[in-house]
Amino acid sequence: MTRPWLIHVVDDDAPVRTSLIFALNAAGFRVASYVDASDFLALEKDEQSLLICDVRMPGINGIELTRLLKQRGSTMPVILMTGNASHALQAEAMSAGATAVIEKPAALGALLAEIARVTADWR
Amino acid sequence: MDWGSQVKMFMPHGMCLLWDPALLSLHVISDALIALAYFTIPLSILRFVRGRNDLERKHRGLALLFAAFIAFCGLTHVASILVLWVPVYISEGWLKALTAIVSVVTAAWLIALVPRALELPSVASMQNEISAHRETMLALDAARAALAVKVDRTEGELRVAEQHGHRSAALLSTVIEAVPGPIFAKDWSGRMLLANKATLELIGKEWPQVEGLRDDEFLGDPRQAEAVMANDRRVMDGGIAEEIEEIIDHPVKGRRTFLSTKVPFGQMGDEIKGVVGVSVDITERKQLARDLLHVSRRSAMGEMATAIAHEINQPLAAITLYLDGSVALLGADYEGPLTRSLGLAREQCLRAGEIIRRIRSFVSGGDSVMRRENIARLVDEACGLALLGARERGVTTDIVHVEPDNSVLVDRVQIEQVVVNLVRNAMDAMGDAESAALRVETSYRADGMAMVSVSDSGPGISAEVAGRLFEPFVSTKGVKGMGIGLSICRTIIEGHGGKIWADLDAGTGATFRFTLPRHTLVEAS
Repeated sequence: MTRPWLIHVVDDDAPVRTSLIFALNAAGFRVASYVDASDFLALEKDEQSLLICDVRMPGINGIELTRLLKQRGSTMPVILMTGNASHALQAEAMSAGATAVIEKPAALGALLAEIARVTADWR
Repeated sequence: MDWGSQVKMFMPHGMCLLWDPALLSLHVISDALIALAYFTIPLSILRFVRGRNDLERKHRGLALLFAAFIAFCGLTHVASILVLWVPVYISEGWLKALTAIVSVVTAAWLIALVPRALELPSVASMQNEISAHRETMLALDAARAALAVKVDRTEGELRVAEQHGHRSAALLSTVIEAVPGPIFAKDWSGRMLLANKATLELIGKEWPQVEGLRDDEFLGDPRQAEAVMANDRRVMDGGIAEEIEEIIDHPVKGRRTFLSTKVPFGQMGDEIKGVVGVSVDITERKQLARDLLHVSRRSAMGEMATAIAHEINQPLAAITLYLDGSVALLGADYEGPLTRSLGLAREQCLRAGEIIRRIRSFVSGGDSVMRRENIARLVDEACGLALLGARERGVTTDIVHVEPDNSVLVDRVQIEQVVVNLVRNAMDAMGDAESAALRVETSYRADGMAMVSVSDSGPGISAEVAGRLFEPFVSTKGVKGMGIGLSICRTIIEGHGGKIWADLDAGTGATFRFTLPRHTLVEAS
């Protein structure tokens, strides 16, 4: 079950990053990964794709990255992942323009359901 | 030569004078008058010596010698008259010789006495001295009179000072009575010398009930009295003021904590006579400090829980994704044992994540799920998890439920965490000891609390660590433990309205106990 979508994964924690790549690949997605926000911002994205990003990162954090993308007029859906999904953080993420906030540890199923939701009207 | 032969041998001296009556008369009268005078003088001297009893012995001797010398001189003049008619010249010669000896001795003595006689004060100087003495006496009399006046005045001043002293003492006792805190003084043997109103209120007694008594004679609790007296003793023995916390039961207000400043008293450099103290009731302040400590501990725990949650959730997230990815790789069509085991592993990861989430939300004041649970069943399930590998390590376990139907209102996950933590700690404490025995017991107490006890046969816990066991980052496991487990347990149990503590018997292991309020169903009417 190969899906066409490209998923960008930004997480400074290598095991989390590679496990995401492994699981998303297993689920049939193409994955591009980045160790931090500036690494991600440095590359041009012309393809329709979505971003899965950790919130707590050194340098530009997940919420700041989301805000930055929205300020640049990007329509790329952003799914934020966090180990501490307080109400305050969720509210802040949503106001920054995030599509969803998923709490770690998350089952792949929950992630896939969220991906399916944001990509439902693509193509 | 005898008297008769002398008379025959010589002629009388009158013959030399040719028996001229006029010349004889001149000699006889002159010699008689001289002899008379010479005999009178010794008599006067004798009278003088007899009259002056205060004379020194040698002065008396000199006076008598002088009297004898003059008497002898008188005798020679009598002899001169005698030899005019009776020619006893030899006897007269011996008499003169005797007189010469007495004269010479007297003269020699006198010569020796002259320097000392010169030292004797003259009458004038004696009179000067006497008048000087008289003046001194007058001055002394004047001084005595002045002194008497002064003594009178001093006595008056003393009376005034005494009255002033009475006023000072009265003012002091008024002030001591007015001070709201207890002020007291005790003597060397601990007997009450002074206790103001606040002190008497503190112990709920009247002054006659404590006057001259020791603490163990008027305080209700003998152990409290013993502690107070030991403090007094130490202050007096050491001679150094101390600030001491003391606990005394008030008849109405219950147990009160006082901060007492006790000072030894006695004069400078003198021996210590007793102890004087002032106290402040710090019961409320102590309670406030405990509450603050509790709040700060909770907030520190909250921060710590957030940090731990992040650090543990990262690997948990990775594990979950690897497991889910693996299941996905196997394909939807695969139905085999691997799917099941991977699924179970994934469930445990999510459970671990759930535990962390609950603890974090709990310590940061968030909601937890409180349900009615059977404590016996809850403990059984938690032990099932915690005792994994116990048999392999040779640990004999004994789980006893004194009352199986024992319900509590708890967040199950949190209480399970506490039980797991205590059981794992007990297993770690026993290490690889040959006879390792673990006992877990549930019971309920008369005060309406359910109690869970976890006992081990390990080495126990040192008193040094015991007091701080439940503080964060205190560990008995050396580098292996972070010292977080028990502090989280305490936060969880206290959050449920219970208490957690340790009974420590060094050498015979340790017993950790916690209580939870029992949940009793209200019968529906």
